[in-house]
Amino acid sequence: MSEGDYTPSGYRIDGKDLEAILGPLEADVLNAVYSFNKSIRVREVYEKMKKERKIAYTTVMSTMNTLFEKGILDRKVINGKGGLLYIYWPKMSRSEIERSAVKQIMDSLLKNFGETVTSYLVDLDTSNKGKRKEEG
Amino acid sequence: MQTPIDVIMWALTPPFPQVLLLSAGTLIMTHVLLKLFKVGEPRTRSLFYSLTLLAPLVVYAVYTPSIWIMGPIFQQVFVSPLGMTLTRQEEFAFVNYTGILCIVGLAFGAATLAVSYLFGAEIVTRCRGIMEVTEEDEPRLYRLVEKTAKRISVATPRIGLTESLQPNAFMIGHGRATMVVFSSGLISTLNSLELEAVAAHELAHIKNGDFHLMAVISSLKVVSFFNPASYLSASMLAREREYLADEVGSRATRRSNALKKALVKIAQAPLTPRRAILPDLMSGLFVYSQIGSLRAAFTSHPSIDTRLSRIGGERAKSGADRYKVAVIALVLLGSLALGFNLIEPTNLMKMFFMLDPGFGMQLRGFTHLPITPLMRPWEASPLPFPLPRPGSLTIIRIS
Repeated sequence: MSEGDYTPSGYRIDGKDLEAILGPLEADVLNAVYSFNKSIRVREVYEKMKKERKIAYTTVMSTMNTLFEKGILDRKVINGKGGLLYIYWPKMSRSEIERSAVKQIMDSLLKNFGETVTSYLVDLDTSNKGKRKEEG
Repeated sequence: MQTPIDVIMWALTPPFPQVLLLSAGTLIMTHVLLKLFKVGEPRTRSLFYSLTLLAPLVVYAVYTPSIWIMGPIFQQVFVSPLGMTLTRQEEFAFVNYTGILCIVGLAFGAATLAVSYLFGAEIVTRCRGIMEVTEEDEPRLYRLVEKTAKRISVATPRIGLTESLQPNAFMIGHGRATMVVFSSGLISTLNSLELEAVAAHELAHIKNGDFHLMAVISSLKVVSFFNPASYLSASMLAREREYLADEVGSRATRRSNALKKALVKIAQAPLTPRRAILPDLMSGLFVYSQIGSLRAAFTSHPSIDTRLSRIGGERAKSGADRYKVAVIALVLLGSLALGFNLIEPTNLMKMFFMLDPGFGMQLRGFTHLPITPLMRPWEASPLPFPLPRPGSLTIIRIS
């Protein structure tokens, strides 16, 4: 696996947006991290998320830890207020995560159900072309 | 220019040497007596150690520190051309540098006490980035603390979190504002049993009234900031309070093994913070119990091995304990009263200076040096005569 690759542990059919490939909590935390555009502390994410929903600091902390372990966030130790603490920043952009996840899922689908996937994609392509012709 | 003699004189100006000697004496006596009588009870031991910090106040009650001190009375003798002698006594004030130290200590000590009661918790909250969490925010942690508080029979305190990765827990504030603070590092390092044991330790501090005791002790430490004995006794006292909190906490929750494991984990945490000096000093003044400062030398916390060996151990308790304490108190007070006589200002002066009838005071050990008269009576200037520099000794030989 090259750097910057993200392998989703699963795919949720009913999930919305990033929630389909990450846990719902992870997706929320990640969205909050993206909204900052800088390196941030757990506390900042916690305070932002707390405004929108009921959440525990320790939950945010462990979720960010999970995202780090998954290779989506990167972190380093700094000497901040109150001692040593982590600051996090996104290692992958949203599109990188999406592309990487789609690649992994499609690879897996092709490997397991290659023919079905190919015929489905062909069907999809033809029906799309048909639609486009109708529109045009 | 200040001569070495001036420096010795400052050091001997009351109440400075009295403070140093009395508190050092108290500390040594206390330590020896507690060892001799084998007093193991941390509460008693901590109270005995507090005597060292009270000693300066006793001295100040007897010898009030002042900015100015009336200088040594000196005599100038003049002989008029007609053979009449004229004696003039001079007394003048000079700056009492060591007295200023004592006054500064008293002022800052009082300020520290006031600040620790009024804004201590707030200062620590700001400096360490503590966020308060409610039952809604952290239900698991809250219930753990609530359960432990019930066992120890104290009111459930407020709960705070810091982002610090170093496992640490401490207590701030008093009364309703009492807050037990856990670091993120502690929560992620310990399991819930160990966390409960640490919470019990911190809550035991609340039960033992350590905020009030330590607020007074740390302001007394500021009062005699120039005195090494006060730092030593304060850290010995704090150590005893830690033993006491370990004991009370683990007895109430029966989590002595979990506490031991937690302490080992805390001590083995790989991170050693590079200290941010100013906020650390500021907040350190008002944080009296920190479980995370286990490893640092010269901290109030006892070494981990000593501590582990004490937790859950049976303390020798005999009926004679009360008599033992009374005997120690009597011996201590008696010897201190005798000692107080020795450190009386003129006695101290006599230890360093001897009075030569012809030349006034001379520093002991230097009496072999020849003294040349500064001024002979017939050279004396008519009034108004030049006053000598404050603090100096005028030596006049009348021949």
